[in-house]
Amino acid sequence: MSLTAEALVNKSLELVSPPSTYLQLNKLVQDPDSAIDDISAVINTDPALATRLLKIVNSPFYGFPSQINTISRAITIVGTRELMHLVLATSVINAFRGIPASLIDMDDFWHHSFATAITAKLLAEECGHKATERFFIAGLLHNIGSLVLYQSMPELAGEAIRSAEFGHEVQFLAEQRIIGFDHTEVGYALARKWHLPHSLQEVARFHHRPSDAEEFPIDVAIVHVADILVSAVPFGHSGDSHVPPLDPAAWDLLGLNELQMPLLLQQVGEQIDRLSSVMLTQDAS
Amino acid sequence: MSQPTLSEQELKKREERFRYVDLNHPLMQVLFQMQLPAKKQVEQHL
Repeated sequence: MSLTAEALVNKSLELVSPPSTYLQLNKLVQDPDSAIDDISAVINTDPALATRLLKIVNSPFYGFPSQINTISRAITIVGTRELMHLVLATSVINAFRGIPASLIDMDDFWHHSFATAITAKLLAEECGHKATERFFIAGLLHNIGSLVLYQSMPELAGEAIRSAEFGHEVQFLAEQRIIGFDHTEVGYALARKWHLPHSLQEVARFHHRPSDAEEFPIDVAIVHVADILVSAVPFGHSGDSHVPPLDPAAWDLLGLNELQMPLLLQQVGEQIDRLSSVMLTQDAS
Repeated sequence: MSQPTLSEQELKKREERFRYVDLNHPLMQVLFQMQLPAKKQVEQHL
């Protein structure tokens, strides 16, 4: 019987730790009786994570005027949701540190992901959304399935990268042909297995075919367009050497003017290095 | 953003990067013609 995306994810979970702190926090924020102290207590049980979060919120990317010294204070300033997203992002980056550099330069991979995150957030702002942090994390994790492929089947994933690079097809189609499924199916399976929010599950699943989105068409359309904008520059390298095809309906859904995009990407360029440097620095601990 | 003054080699690279997109779409036309500061862009993959 051939391998499925779900079976690959189940096998991969023996190697990759789930984002347990994030899952605990997710439960906690759904409890109406929980308070900031409860949330900070959970984060503080992992001192390395707490230290990393404080470094991130004190970085030039956020640019807060005064020092934030405690997780409780960080929650007050940054907000519970945004801090939870940072917990999730940090956990995922740490979970996939073992991917061989001979397959893909992971700094380049994350550079693409961070740029997609910033672009998705800026696009959401342009579209008039107020709470835009969910678009940031959706952009950041849209290629989470690629990480599983790179980690668990590096030879076949490498073949798909090379096939795409040498001009035979876009990467997700190369994956389908060579592996039997692609990173979007794997990303969806992993996001479900980890009980990530449904919006993140849909973005992982449909970012290359946004018209199939079910519950979150706007989230999916924004990340679909963000991925294309970032690949066009390009910022970083996700493994795909080509700009993915645009679904015109997704672009129309956003109602934006294409002439705004170069300026938006210039803003991404101004923010990306600050974000990458703080997110990718490894702690000495 | 200025119109690109691309060398033949740069133009070839860009055409390859945009191989699977419809360049008749207005967004893709803007992106194809766009030039951003080269800082931290990764061009070595093509």
